Amino acid sequence: MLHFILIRLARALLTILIMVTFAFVVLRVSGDPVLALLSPETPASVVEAFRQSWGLDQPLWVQYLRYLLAIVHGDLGQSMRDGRAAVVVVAERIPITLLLTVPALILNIAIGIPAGILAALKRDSFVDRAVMTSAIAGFTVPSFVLGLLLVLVFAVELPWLPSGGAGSIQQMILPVVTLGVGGAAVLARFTRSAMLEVLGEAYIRTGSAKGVAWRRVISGHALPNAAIPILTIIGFMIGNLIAGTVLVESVFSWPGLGSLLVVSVMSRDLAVVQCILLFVAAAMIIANVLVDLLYGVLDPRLRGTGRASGGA
Amino acid sequence: MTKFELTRRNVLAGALAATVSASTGFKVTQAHAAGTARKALRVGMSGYPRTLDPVIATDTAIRRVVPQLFDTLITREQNASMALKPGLAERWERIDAQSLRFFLRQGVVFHDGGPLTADDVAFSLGQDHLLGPGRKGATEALAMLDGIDRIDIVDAHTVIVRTKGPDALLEQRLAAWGSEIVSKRAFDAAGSWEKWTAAPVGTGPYRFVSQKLDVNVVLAPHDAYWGGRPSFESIEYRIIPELAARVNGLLAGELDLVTDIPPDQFADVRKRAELEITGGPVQNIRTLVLDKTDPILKDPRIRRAMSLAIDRKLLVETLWDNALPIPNGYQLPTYGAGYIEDFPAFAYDPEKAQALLNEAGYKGEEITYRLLNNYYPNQVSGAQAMIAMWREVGLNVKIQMMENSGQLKQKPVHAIFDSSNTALFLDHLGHPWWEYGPYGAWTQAGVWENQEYFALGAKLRETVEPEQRRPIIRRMLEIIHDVDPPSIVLHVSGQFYAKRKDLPWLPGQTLELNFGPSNPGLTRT
Repeated sequence: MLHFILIRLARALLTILIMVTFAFVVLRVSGDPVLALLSPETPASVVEAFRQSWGLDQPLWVQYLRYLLAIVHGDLGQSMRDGRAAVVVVAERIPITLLLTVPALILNIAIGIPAGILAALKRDSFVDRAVMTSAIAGFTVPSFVLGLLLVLVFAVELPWLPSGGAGSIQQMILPVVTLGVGGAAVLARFTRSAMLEVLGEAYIRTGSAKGVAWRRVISGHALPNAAIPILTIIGFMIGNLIAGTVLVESVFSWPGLGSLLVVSVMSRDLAVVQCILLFVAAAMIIANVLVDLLYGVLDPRLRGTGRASGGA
Repeated sequence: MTKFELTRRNVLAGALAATVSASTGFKVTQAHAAGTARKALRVGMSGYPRTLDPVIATDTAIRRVVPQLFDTLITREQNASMALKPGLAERWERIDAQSLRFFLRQGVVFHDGGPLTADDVAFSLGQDHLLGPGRKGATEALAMLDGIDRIDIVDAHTVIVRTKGPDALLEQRLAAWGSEIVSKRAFDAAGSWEKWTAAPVGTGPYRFVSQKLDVNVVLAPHDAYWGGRPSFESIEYRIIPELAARVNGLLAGELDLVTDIPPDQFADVRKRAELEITGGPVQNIRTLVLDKTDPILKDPRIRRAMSLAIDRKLLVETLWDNALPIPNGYQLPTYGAGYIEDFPAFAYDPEKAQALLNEAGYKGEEITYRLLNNYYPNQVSGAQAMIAMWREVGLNVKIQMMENSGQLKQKPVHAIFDSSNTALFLDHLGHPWWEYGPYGAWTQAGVWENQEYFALGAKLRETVEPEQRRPIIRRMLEIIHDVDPPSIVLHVSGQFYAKRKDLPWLPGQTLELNFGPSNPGLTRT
């Protein structure tokens, strides 16, 4: 187990280093960060002074080594737009984004899994077709289109909810629904497939033939066996949720990590972008490790191997 | 951080409040002590002001907030003339070509209650302030005010501003961006630039209350304001970068005014009886910069042909609802004595364009158009229309999409690209010279230089008499239009707002927002 954890940790660090390096290089070669931040008409003397004050007049490799050294010392740099430490700017947005992503994930699971199970149990019925049609619709409509539609209906035409901003429960509803619908649709489809596969297994027929109650067959045998691919999908969905906040937070003016990332990339606020990417990488790695560990909980055969044989 | 209280009662109360506030529109908050109800103003704007000190930067987002917080010694009428008028100085007089004497208003107080004195003026226009954090000189105001030599304090309410050389435009400079007067006492008390910019103190009609990065800036009225009682109980600038989200906020009654509305949104806003579109041309000119170091564009005849091939009237009619003027030359009528009224208008003459191309021996060589994705409103559709117009006369212009303005300037440029330039002050020296003078943005980028133009500009800087200045300006205009064009002028830029009709605010001719009592629409509210 220690060996497994050490290998995962080394891979995680390598992943973070690759991502940090990639972000560092791409952000700098795709345009001068100073010119991106300042207006095009800014005098050259001001541009040069700004460049010097942020160390951007140094060669790229010097900037990179300085950056890595600073990270090792726990310094993720300062925001060029805000002047504060980048980690502070990013840290204050994390809970605001979690206010969207956690309820959205709960919504994904609360709608997606029961709907998928129901569709599988009622295969080829009207219920199955209705659930799958809704799932396809939910999956194919882009989140920004859904968000704008929800705003037009529930904020503009029926003034029941605010159109955007953050600060109240009401302002959470539309973005959470927007973020949650797509994931619920994906989960419903995967749950249905996983359940159908399990329901065709011999042990399900055996359980039924033995006279075990159908409800018990489903909850005791079908669901635990279908859970591994579903869990894998939920692991991926955490990444999708973070990516989804980029669009949803923009549509709803929600001041979280997603909107901060958009503004920071546009203005080449290097330290903040890199700090966000570090956080996202860490979140994804932690989510994947948790999913791996949960495999072992769900399937005793996988304990000690640290990896799932089933799933995606 | 945003604070949430998750109780059932709060949820129900919040839902009710959201419904009620959304249906009542322009929100009356409370009666003012003076007896007249004042309203909270909610403004949706696209960008967050990265600083609120007036000298550091001049981004549009900053200039939308700063005029509420600070005043200048000299200000401008908010009308078509944009004439100079007294601000914090009740009067001023020319001593000579290098100095102006200012008589400050008595009884002006800062937001913290301290009185305005000559010390504040000397500090605001002095090196400790103009050079910015660490006295490094990384301020945009310095580029315009670096000609100031020193401020002599005569008495508590009289100062003399002296320049290093003759400066005919000192009055204009002191009415422009970056010359706002800040409180020296509050600056000293803050102890650092970081603390100062987090809560700046001026004499303006509104005082700073709070700001949250990418969320909002909140101001409260400064009831001791020298210019009259401010009209609003509070002003909240909400930062909403997405156009659709801004418009939806207005349609839902959550905002009273939103900025940066492109013409394709006009019809949707006008469908609502309670809303209207306002705004129009501002003191900014949209251009296409031409790199004369390019092997093709080095021939001025090709640059002139590109200009003659553009039907500007059609562009403005189709893309801008015919709401923007086409100037006669790189100049604006508000330049006053420096405006050359009879300078010829831009011609649309495809035949002459073709003749010039033939004369130059142009054989369809490719000209690159570095284009950003709608950094300016209607930028891409305008570019596509111009490509078609150029094709009509035989010009082969190809678009190369770019991601940011830094990429536009990557050397070798060898291309054309869009620009817009706001008049720092209303004169040739405060506008085209700012782009094409020896220290101008595009000259520094290495795409253009013209020694005759530079020499004339240097002469103009030292020429005070209007009648002596006009021939110089005329020749400078001829150089940048016909002799050796650094750019193609397209039209005057516009800024349009969508707002509630019951908000009597009127936009000015700049990108700044003025919610103070000097706004003609708010004077009697």
